Amino acid sequence: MTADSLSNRRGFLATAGAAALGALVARPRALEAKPSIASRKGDKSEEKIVASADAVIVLWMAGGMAHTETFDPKRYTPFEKGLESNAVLSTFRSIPTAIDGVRISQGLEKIAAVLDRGTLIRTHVAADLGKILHSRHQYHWHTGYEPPQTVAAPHIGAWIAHAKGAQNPALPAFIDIGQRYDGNGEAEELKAFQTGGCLGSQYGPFRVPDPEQAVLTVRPPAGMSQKRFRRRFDAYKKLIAESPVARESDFQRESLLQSLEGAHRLMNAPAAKAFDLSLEPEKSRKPYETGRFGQGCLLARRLVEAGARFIEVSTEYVPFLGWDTHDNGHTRMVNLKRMIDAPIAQLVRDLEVRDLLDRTLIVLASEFSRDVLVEGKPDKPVPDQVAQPDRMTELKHYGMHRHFTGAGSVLLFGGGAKRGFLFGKTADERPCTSVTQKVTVTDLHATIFRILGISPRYGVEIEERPFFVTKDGKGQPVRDLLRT
Amino acid sequence: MRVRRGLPRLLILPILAAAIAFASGRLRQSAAAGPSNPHAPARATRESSGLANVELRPVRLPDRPAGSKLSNPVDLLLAAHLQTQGVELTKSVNDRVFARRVFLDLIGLLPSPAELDAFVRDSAADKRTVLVRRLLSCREDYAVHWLAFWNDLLRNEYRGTGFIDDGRRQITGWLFRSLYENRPYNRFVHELISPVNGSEGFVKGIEWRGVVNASQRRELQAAQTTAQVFLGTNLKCASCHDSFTNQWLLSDSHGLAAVFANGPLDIYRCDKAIGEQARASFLFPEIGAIDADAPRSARMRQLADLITDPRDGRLAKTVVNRYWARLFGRGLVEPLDDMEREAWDPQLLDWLAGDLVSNNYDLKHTLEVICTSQTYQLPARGEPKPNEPVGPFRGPISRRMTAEQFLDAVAALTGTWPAASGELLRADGRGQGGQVGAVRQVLAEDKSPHATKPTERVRAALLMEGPLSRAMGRPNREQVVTRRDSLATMLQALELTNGITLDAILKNGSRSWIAEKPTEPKGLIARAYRVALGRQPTQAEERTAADVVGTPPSAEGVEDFLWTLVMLPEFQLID
Repeated sequence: MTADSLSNRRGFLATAGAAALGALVARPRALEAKPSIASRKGDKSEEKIVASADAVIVLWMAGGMAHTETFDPKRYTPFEKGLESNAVLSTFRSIPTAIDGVRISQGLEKIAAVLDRGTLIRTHVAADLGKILHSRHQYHWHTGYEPPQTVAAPHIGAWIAHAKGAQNPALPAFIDIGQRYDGNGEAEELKAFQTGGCLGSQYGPFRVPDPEQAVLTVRPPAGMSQKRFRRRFDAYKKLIAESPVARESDFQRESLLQSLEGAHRLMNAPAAKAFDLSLEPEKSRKPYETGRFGQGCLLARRLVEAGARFIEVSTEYVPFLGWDTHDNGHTRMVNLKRMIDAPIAQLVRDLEVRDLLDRTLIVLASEFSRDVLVEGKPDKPVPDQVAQPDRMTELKHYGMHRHFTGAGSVLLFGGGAKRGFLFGKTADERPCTSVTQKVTVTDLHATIFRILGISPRYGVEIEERPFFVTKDGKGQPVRDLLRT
Repeated sequence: MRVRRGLPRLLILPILAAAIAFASGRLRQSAAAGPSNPHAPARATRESSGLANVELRPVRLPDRPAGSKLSNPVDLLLAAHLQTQGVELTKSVNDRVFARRVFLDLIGLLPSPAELDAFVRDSAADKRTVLVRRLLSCREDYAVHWLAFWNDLLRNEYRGTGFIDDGRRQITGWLFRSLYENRPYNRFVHELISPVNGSEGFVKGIEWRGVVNASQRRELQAAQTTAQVFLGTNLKCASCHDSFTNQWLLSDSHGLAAVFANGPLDIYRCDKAIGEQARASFLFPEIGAIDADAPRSARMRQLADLITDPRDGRLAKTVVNRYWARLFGRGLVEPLDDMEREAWDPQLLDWLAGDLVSNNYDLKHTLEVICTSQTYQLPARGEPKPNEPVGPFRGPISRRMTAEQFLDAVAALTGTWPAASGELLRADGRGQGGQVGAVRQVLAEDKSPHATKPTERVRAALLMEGPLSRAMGRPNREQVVTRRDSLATMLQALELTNGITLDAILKNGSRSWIAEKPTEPKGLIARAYRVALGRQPTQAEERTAADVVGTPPSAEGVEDFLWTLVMLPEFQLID
């Protein structure tokens, strides 16, 4: 009797009642033998999906990145005392990009120069979750499901780890860079989606909270020499061999040994060097030195070179910090752009010259956008979270301080995404909402999965019911975004 | 509205055997044909759900086999089965293995070398029974150990989602007191469903701000967790639509949810209101009905009365099955949350459940019966590979320590117990933390002559979750967890190999061992082996360990030696 037939209640009934039956722990099992084949009869997507990328890097703009201040600039209005809030759509001038006729916001010149390598989506819309809350929308963006759920929803990286496995078996398949939890008022809400969920802890993230200290995660404990570290492990293996406790074959024991072997193998593997940013030559490191996010991009590049499967680099979510600009929006935006512009452009260029861009999909996204005045969707406003005066009397009033879900910008570079392509249009006047086809989180995920060769209906059976990689298996790839 | 069912549930047993015989021939084929369309499995009909019969069947204990001295009912019930498996019930594990197993199982701690030696030396014939009783009377240690188990089931976490704006409450003080006082299980469940002061958090559930899916409204959460945890049945599917996999209908889940509702509860199918309102009802109307027009508190009291009605055998069966699984590695029914399936030994399940009921729902009594059986004392077998069946029951399966057992065992070995910090002693403005304070208050209020003096050490079950405990399998308690992930993974191994938490514990531990200024490694190694593994090292082990420890022992050497010890399967597995 196999696990599959046992986990099937009907198979079980066939032998129920017999003392000879061994109980089996219920574990999730894949719904489909091959992730690339959809299973529903008559489903249009029943064709074979060919992967056009092997690795994914998600660049997470945590806190809500205003589209009109970054990749979707509108009419620029310079600051002056007494300026009407309603008059302000963008607080920056726009600049040209490598795509003819497409302009983005000042301060992103380096990304503008590589935009011809990617697709810019301007009509990404966040889900309607009643209230607009960062951690809740982040949960939704990362899992495709709105919290709470009756089963633990896996992070998109965990799904990819489950469906595709590690590219380089020495490296964890899902690496999460840049998010720390200590002292964070929403730490628990963040942890709730940074997990392997119902797929099991082995698909969860390998956490690198601080990219500059990444090497410590694959090194012996502080103060322990490599020699001592090896000796310790050798002694361990010897003590196991010498143990007088006889035992029959035991999967727990085997997996314990194998897991420790795996950890030691990673630490000694050439791939582990990818974690050591000090090995990066001075010259090529330079563009990435804009802080922790920049270092995270460099680490991501090195990990992709070493064969990583899924990496998320977060600008780090901390309430009211980072992209969560509830005040001083303009001033803070200058610094935020400085933080991301050079590293992201360099990441694209570096992967390109290494011939890795074709098989690596870079996704830049945020949980929602912002506006000066509108909170929520234009047709469905929610209570204001911050006061914004009708007239700006101080510079701190100048910026996008409210949460907006009517539109948002997403960048896709490399992988199977189109090159030099603009998707979607937003209104030129407030509310600057999507006026052409919207891209939902569910469909954006389906597009990402499609690029990796994973059906939107890939899933596991958990508690006797299907749980899909896109919500209820209903994600539809946005074919316009794909090269083929 | 659908017709509830074709036949009253209690009438269908006679036709059940025929139904199964029919189903088995037909369905084995479809199972062999591989996974079918997940959306269209033949739906379990009400008629075929007779296994859901909730009443306990009376069990007559078999006669003692000729020439045997067996008297424990578990042994009597399993003797014939074990004989067919070639398992001799008299071949128990030795005293050291037994003591380690039963200490970890009942109070979650390793026996100290002194306790172990005294137990081995003891020549009394009934010493194992005496030990089991003694451990069950260690009220504080017992309660802390089982607190972790119930925290998982009841989603009681000291910090988590929902607390941010009063969307969640701890029940730590109430839960600890219930375990410490060994509150009868029917009382325990009654107080969770019809809350008393301190137990409100269970029914309250977890509220995320904003609009949630209709199937995750608080009332539905309460219905789902009540059904899953106490009755071992799954209402999650039926919370959105009539279930595809079991007998529950949308109206059943909403009926149970309506018990907990403050006002009228709209029925939603797949997140869309269908324009009807739910009437409070109970899943097993055979036992009794709920007055849907009564006020909320009265409805909840009625529900609590019905669930704890002695005729509701499902309550007792579900919990004894969970305890059996905990002690043996596998349940009598699997999965643990699908009690509609038949047990591999239905007689044993019914007997254990009936025994619990007739002993005033005393779970310590159930633990004593099981742990004093010869069956429990059989040698442990290895865990099979994930895709292999466990095979027929032949005794316990060796289990991985839980995160809490592991951390407590490491603390005992290194002599470094965490101190009670401020956040553990006092809850913050959101009601997070303060769990140690809550526990100490319960202990301080105990004026009985048996009151134990509160210990200063803080056991792992009372700590906040952290990278190490998470890596070792402590769940985040966002969902009900009735069985933890126990397999070793590389992510876990990385945490054990170079994580700062364990590294710091071992460094401190090494310092405390070195503080005694040992001049040669031998005594230190022997003592560490005795604490960690409950035995002396062999000469070969002693030589290998001495190479690591150094002469005289160095701080680094001791630290590395301690690491090797706590990584050993012999340390991390409960045999």
